[in-house]
Amino acid sequence: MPLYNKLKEYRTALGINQTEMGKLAGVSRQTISLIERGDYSPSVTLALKLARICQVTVEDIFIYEEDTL
Amino acid sequence: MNTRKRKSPSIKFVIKMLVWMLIGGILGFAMSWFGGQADNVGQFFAVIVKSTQSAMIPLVTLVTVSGILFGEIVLKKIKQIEERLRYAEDEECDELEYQEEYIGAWGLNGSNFAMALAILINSVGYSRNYISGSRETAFRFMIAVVIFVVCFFYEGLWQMRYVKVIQSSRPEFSNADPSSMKFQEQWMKSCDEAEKEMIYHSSYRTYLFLSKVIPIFLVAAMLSNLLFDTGMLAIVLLAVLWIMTSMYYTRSCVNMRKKRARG
Repeated sequence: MPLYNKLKEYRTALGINQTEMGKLAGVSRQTISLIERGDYSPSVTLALKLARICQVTVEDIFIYEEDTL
Repeated sequence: MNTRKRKSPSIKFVIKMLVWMLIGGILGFAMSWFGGQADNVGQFFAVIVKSTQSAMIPLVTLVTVSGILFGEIVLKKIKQIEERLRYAEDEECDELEYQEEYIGAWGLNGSNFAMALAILINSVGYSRNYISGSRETAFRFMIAVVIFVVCFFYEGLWQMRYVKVIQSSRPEFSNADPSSMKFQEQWMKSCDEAEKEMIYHSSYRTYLFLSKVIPIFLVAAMLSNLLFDTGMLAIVLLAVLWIMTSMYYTRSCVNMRKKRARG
């Protein structure tokens, strides 16, 4: 799926590690790591939670790029 | 652009059926030859059962001791990884958690393998003919059963200790009680969405695997009954298992659809 994200950038800007981010979002560190690596697409609820933690919109963190034909 | 003409599904199906018929013919030919050797094969298995019966105690002891040693090594390694995880950076955590999962999977499989092997060894002596054969065989069987119970207790406790180690670093799983019959459900409740997805994927792949393997085993059980008169029980059990697996899966799908339809 052509879904990219800038979660790592926003998390680093907040000065927190994956474990702390996971605690704030109510998920495990592994899940944050999977999202950052693009190996897992979060649910809408989790995407909204992450955006709220980073104080940005969901579209700021997650970018959907359709294939150019 | 792909210029190759795509075959229609019905032609594909006919080709597949022909290939399977050919394989079936070859297997049938092989089995008819094998059937001619039935007496030799029967004797071969009788020798294996006899030698396993006489070596039951050392074999169960070996399985139990190996299981204990393997379990302790695995648990020690997992504890070391857990200790490193406490102070690891994010990138290192990914690698360490993979190692933990990998070693833990070996540990769990080893634990279940030891229990299955212990059952298999004990089952060769679990016959009225053998037990009532003489006082010595009955005594030997009793000792093997005691060792087998020790093996089961240890492996059961090992799995609980493994869960406790994981829970020490992941307190969100502390609500799951490994001694409870509902442990798997409790564990699942504590998982987040990505972990649940991983479990669902693995479960579905297991279902697909079983729905391929069970019919193959069923055919093998039918052939062994045809050639060696091994009895109907294995065939009946596998057939029931096959039906139950399929029914349970479809029932679960229907229930979910019903829930969604009701909203």
